[in-house]
Amino acid sequence: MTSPFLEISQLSFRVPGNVLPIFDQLSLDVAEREIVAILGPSGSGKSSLLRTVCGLHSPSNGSITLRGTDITNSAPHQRNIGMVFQGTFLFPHLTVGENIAYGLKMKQFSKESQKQRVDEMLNLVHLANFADRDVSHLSGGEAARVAIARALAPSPQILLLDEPLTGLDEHLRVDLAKDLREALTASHITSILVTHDRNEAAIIADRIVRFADLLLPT
Amino acid sequence: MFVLWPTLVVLSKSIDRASLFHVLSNSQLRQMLWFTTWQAVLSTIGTLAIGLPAALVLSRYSFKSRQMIRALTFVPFVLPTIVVGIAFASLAPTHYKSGPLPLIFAHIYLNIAVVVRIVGNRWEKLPTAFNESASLLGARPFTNFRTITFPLLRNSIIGASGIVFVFCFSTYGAARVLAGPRFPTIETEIYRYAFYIGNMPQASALVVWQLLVILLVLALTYRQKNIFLSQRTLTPLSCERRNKRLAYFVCSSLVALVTLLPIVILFFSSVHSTQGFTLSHWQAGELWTSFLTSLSIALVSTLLALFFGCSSAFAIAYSTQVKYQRMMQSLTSLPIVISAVALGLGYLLAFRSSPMNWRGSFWLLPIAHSAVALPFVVRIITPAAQEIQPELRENALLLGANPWKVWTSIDLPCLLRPIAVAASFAFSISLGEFGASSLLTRNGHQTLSMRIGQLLSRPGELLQKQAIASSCLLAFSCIAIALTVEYAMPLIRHKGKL
Repeated sequence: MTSPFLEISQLSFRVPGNVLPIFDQLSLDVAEREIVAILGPSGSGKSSLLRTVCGLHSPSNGSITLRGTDITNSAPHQRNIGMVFQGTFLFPHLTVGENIAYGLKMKQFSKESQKQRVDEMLNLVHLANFADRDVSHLSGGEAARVAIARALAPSPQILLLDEPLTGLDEHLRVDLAKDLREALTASHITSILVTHDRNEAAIIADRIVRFADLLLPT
Repeated sequence: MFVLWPTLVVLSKSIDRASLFHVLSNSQLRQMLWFTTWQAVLSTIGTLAIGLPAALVLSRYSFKSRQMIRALTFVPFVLPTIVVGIAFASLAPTHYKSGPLPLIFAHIYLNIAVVVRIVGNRWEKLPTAFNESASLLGARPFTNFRTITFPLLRNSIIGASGIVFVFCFSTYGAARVLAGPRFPTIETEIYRYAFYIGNMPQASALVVWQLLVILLVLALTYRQKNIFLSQRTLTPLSCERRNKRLAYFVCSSLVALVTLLPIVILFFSSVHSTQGFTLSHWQAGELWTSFLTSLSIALVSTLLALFFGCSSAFAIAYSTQVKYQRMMQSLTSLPIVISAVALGLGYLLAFRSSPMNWRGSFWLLPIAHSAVALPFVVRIITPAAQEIQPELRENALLLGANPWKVWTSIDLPCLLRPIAVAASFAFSISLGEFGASSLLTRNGHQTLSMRIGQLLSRPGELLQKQAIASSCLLAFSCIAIALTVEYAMPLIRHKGKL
């Protein structure tokens, strides 16, 4: 039997100084190129799970294995995991193109390859010719698309999406969810989406799991 | 009238071209101008080197006693510069009691709070998600700082550097005590030419050169466009690693201790003589007479500063015309650009003939002090008044409150806290003001800072120790005022809650 692409095993996270954990003994397996949606109410610990997987939080227990390598204690910049935050957080001092190229620069892509990849990503999220735009002039939907393009550009091993469509109106959410599904499948990227919206999860994901079901029953 | 008019009088007196160009042709004056500039540059670099890491730790991370340590780092800013000068002279080894080195250290000590306040306020609003995104995109910690944090803080760092340079370029008290006769600064030279030599055109010419340099630096460092980050202060990060939390606590406690050290040493020096422990230096009658004079002048000057400052701040905050706002902001910032000694010189020249012959009047000193405090009062109250949401006032109006009632029930409670902070600043500034007072004090109402200046200029251990005791009294008063406001704040805030 082959091991899963991402294996989260008995993972716990506790805020330093707090007695109660945010989540305890959580396990999840994700197959290669699979898009998994984790459903759960606000405050259940979904975002903390993603932040622990990408290394922004240190787990208090458990392990994370990616492609057979234990990454539990690796630094975030060494994991090659992409993340789209709730609220997009595009770098305000950089243009749309510079935002998308940021991860490519870190990987020391040549200028030409950077430009080519930025154009490719902009086409993927239907924002061709947006490269020179100031990010402060983007609408909510456009900013969400740029955030997705920025996270996808350096070809991460896995993409984490933390309620990326929150704050957008209903009609736009459905359209963007479809586009997001298209972009993720076209990029053949393994992804984990956390959301509290069942419809959004159904449009984007191959598999939907409830956050509570991932925890070891007590 | 009390800011612009004296400035214009000083400027008009220096139309004498010979005096203006004498500053450049005279090698001693040229050397003095060069020294003032390079010590200010080095002081600014030193202040940034310590202030930026302190701003990072104090604004971004939560750890034990963070709030108290943060409050302590602001202590030097409220201390009179002459007190800091004396403290550093006491601290320094025998061969370094005066000269560029102690002066630069004193300037760094005085201005760390400026960097922590200006850069820290911006850093507090920088969402961590920017750095986290960069980190996930592969940026190592230093690259993350270079490509994300620094560009977003650049304007505030440049702005803070400009203000620190201006303060270091034009401090008088510290320079008079620490620079020594071999290293005069432009501020001490203005005083010397005006007071000892009586050469008013030359003093005015130096004011013009000082003004030119300050305006040039402010023009170069003024950045209007600041990328909007967040209106509110973000919650400081709790460090996940215990060692890191401990390291932050220890480092910032060290900074806080260093800020208190000069005052502690000053106090021990004031109660110690060659015969051992003594309180005699604190028992001189003139000490307490001068202290009472200082208190009464500070009280009047605080009331004046609040009256003029609040009027200006409200005029700026409630105006909808950007041009008018800018004009008012520039006018009320003038006392930062024109140094205290230059302002004192302006008062001497402007108010010496009928119908404005106010030389020797009690009122001139509190008015000058309130003018020095005006920019601080305006800069504290204006943003607070601008932050009050118009919807609050509109709701109150729709609920039947008349405009006056709206102001007293909505605006005033929100402004009580900044007004209290502004009052404490104005009071401390007046208590320790030395530059303008040196030129304007007349017999009969000698302030504590003036007494310190006079005692220092005379030889003898007893007089020097009395100057140190007076400095301690000034320092303790300023710290007590700052702490009173700090601890009275929660009460005021509670009362002001809507």
